[in-house]
Amino acid sequence: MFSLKFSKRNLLGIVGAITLATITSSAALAQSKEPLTWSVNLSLTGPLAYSGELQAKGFEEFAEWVNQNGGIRGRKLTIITDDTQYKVAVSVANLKRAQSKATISFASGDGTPWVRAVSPENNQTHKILMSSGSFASDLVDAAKYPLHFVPGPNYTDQIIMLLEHIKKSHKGSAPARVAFIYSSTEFGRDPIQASKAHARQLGLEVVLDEETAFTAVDVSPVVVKMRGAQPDYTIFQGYATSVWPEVIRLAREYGLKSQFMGTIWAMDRGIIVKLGKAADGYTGVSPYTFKSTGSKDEVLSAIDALRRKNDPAYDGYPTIPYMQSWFSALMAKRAMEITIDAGKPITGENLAKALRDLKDWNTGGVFGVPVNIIGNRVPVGRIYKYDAGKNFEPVPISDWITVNK
Amino acid sequence: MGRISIWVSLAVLLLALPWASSGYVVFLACLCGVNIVATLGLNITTGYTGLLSLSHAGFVAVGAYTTALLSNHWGVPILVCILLSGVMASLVGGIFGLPSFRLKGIYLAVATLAAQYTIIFALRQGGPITGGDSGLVVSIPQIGGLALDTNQKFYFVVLAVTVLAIWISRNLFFTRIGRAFIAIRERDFTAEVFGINLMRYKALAFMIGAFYAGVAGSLLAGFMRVVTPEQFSLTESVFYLAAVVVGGAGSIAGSIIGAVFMTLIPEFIAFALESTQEAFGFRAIAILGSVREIVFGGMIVAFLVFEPRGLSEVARRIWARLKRTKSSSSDNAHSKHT
Repeated sequence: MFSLKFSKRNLLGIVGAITLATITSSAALAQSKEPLTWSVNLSLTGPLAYSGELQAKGFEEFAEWVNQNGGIRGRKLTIITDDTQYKVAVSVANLKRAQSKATISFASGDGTPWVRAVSPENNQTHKILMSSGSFASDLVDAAKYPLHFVPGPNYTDQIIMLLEHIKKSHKGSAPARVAFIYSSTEFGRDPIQASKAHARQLGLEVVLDEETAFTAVDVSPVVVKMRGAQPDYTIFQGYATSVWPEVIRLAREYGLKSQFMGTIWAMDRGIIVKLGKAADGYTGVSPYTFKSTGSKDEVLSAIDALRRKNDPAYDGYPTIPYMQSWFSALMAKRAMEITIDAGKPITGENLAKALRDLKDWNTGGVFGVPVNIIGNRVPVGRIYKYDAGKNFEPVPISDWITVNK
Repeated sequence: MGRISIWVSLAVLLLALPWASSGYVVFLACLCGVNIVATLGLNITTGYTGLLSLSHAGFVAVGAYTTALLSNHWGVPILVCILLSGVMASLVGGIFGLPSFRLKGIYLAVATLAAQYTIIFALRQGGPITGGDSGLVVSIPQIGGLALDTNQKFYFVVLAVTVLAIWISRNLFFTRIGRAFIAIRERDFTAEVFGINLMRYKALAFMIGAFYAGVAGSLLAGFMRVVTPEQFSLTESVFYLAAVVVGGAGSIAGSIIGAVFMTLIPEFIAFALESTQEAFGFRAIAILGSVREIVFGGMIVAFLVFEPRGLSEVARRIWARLKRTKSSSSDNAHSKHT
């Protein structure tokens, strides 16, 4: 039978084991309570400053909400926000600076150039989960970008939704005449070739393919071409706050009746309201629910409460950039919750797997339906129409659409 | 003995940097090296020869894309890529330098804008070859089977190439070619009277400057591992020109000081802004970010007005004063002793 001699050596051994166990579990406990640090790189100055500021506000208020509710599984969330000035070298330097200060568990950037610049080294060495404000089509390539997740449908998905809507709703026997107006940037050109091909497949006639500068004040050459082409529908792609509002305004002055449409970044209600009557009927795709007022869903109601608390003039419509950053943050939060619950370390690979394994995820009202992550993005969106008669309420004119099921 | 110890200390510091500091510092060091090489090239063309060029970023792009294509398609080792990228950029620079035979000053600058826009347009429209707007991801640089897959490893390539570029530039101006460049800048008609073939030496100035730009582009491609047309915009050409002006046109030390200054000052400002984030949130960064542009522009204007010979002249005066102080204190000590 086993017997333990109670000697000094045994006593020391037992005390030592207990001490070691205490230290280890304290260290583990301390580590598990260590704050989670995220690096957020946004264009706070430069041509994208308008949306950059709104995105930064989204991350700031998300962190406020999370920390008010006990953090992520008890761990406080800290966000390091940096200005990229929409320059690649600056954005890479920002991430490296953040990494020198803390262990970064999630990084979000301002756009496609940031994702492309950071990904090669990140995929190989740092392996940080990433997201960004880019919905570029090739970012859904999981082989090239295994750790980056697009917070919605990509640009090609979005234009496909619009084209399918045109096909379904167009009246008259002649094929619908479609114009594409886009910026001379990657952001603008990204979905155009695939979209034109899809339009032809649907039997739509592409009557104008016009590339413009990213920002411009004089858009009369574009509108003159529109007058010649007489499109039934005009789709904008690749702009922030410039060009597309000017085109709409001038086209209406010229008496053109084209139905104007846009993808996510050309759906900002603030700009539509400023355009006034000229933008009545403006249609576009948004992956996110537009209105927070009266929502009973967990996240959307939290957004509503925070917005009203921090902005007395809040009108019940969180902006697109704001919602995009909330959803990117939500994806990261959900991935971390799953990973922590599974007892796994928080690494980019574990977080990415957690996201890919998500099934029918209830996003708390951000999306109106449960979503899955397919090809590193959430290919779900809805088409809205701005109604001047209802104070530019974005009225949904389609159900929630899932592309590439 | 004092000078030798300074150089030795600097060499030890530079060699030990990857082990003694964070990835962020190494990244900045690599970026400084790339910008030093590019600025040296532009200083040869603009500072020493007096040919104003707004196309330097375009030539950097040629070098970067050449390296991307050579390493992605044929697995060419990085050192060979660097040399070939320089040659390629040099040839392109020679072609776009042709207007310099007839044009001067602001007219030449406008003509070089054509190079800048043409090169970037060609890269954007290059389809599957250049990746268009998406650009190209560059495969991991290799030296003899060793993969330089981190900034820490690639840093030594950047350091070696930068030191070599500085050494070559310095010695260039002890040669006939270098003296011809200076003569063209001072009075090109007189230089021609004295037998300097203007056409040949102006073309050479563009080609040598573009060679350096191509080498810088190759280094940039190797350590960023991605090349896109947006990285090489007109703003970057202006950046290099500002580095020449701020550092000191017609000065090798000026190229180094100007490039390091232009690279690090925005980082210092960003570092200072971070301390405001805790108190004022991200808004402080946005507001003070705009102030940064004003501060930066103001500094460049201040240099043009108060010290047109740039930071190298400031450094030279400080060094001269230190030497005078040291020699006068040793004279005093000697006279007390006697």
